[in-house]
Amino acid sequence: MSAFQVEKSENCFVDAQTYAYASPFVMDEAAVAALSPFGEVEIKRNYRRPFYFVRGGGMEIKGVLGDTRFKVSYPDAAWQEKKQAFEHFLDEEINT
Amino acid sequence: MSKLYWNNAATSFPKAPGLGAHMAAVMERLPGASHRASGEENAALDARALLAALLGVQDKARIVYTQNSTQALNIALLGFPWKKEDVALTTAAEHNSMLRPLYALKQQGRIKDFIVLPVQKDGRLSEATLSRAVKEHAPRLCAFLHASNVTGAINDAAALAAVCKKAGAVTVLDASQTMGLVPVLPEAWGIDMLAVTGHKYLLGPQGTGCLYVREDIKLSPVYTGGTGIHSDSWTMPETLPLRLEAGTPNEQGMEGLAYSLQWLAAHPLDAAALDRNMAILEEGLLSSGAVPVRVEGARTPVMAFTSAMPPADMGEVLNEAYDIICRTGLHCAPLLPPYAGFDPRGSVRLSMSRFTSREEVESVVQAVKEILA
Repeated sequence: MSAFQVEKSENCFVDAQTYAYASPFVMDEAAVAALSPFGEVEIKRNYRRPFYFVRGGGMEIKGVLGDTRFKVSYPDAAWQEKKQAFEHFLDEEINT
Repeated sequence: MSKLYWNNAATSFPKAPGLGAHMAAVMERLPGASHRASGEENAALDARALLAALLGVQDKARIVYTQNSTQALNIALLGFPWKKEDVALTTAAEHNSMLRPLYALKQQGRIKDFIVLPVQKDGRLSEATLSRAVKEHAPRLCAFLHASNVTGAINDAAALAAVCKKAGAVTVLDASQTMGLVPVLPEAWGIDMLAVTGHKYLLGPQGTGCLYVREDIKLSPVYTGGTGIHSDSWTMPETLPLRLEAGTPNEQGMEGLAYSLQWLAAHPLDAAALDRNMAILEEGLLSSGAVPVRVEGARTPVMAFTSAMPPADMGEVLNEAYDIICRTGLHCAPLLPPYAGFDPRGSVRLSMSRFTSREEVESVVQAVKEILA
């Protein structure tokens, strides 16, 4: 059983693969930096609440820095594999 | 910090002041719907009469209660006496509430086809385009919106209806976005059927709306069931409104809408203030590097924009980092993006209300500036 919660986040597009996650830990700078295997990390500190994006390979992770919630959009192609890999990574992170 | 609500084109908030208390009081009163044979006289406020008056409709029986515009359009389009060779015209700016029933009619073989007319960049249907199309396609029915829910541009419904009438076509108008903002007068304008929702700029509760049906149009009921009268007949009553109102109605909701209609009548819209706020918003978005859809002339307080940031990201950041609730994507108008100059991801839509303050507009502009800095 995963230590995080995940729910599909529907939007306008039939093929969109966006999921809302709630992790048991706060996504602070260290946690966001740990997502770098999935893409380039960008933290927007000038926003009212600092916000991060991690983008790479058609995948995007985004959320408010310091929150436990974030969203992940997987690319149309091979989204199941990408999702499985990301969730495996999350489980590993949570358990270490 | 409280949230700034900028999704009024979807559902208005706040509602008419006092609506919540009024509806709470209505819920404590004996219902009338269970014994509809005795009529609607139990209601302290008569939504049907108020809607008829607002629409300039002479006979309130032509006002059919619905849950919203979507239901009204379904009752109008699916209940219309089509012939298999009929063609319908609609526009690329339409909401799915119009497009999906038309598509269903075609799929079911009840009409030959429906033609989607191109719109201008602001989402308007031009008279010239409609005139050419009615000559080319000889439609039985033309169905279009009064204002785009994406761009806010208001169509000249009377002029378009005149084109339809001259061509012998029935006109269906979706007034979801304009009721409560500008006059909507189906009988004066020659509109044959009109869809209204209560939960947008009429400031009423969700689950309320109506369909106006001109006297000589006979729709087949999409829903059948109890009406409280003529219970010894297998079929629905012949007369409106009950012919199209099967089942226990949303009596409390409609009385809430009636309350809102009365409040609106007592508190005329300050259109100039809305226009000023829209001008500040447009100027602010432009100066931030965003690209709002430019709309000349009559419009609703709705503005769609794109920017260097994908719409979904912009919406997420506005909501999560700035507590600004807006809408992103296609806005249930899936055919509009190429006409409005959007890519397939759509746009960000900001929609204010009569209660939106200048300070709130400036906060939104400031947020977009920071995001795009």
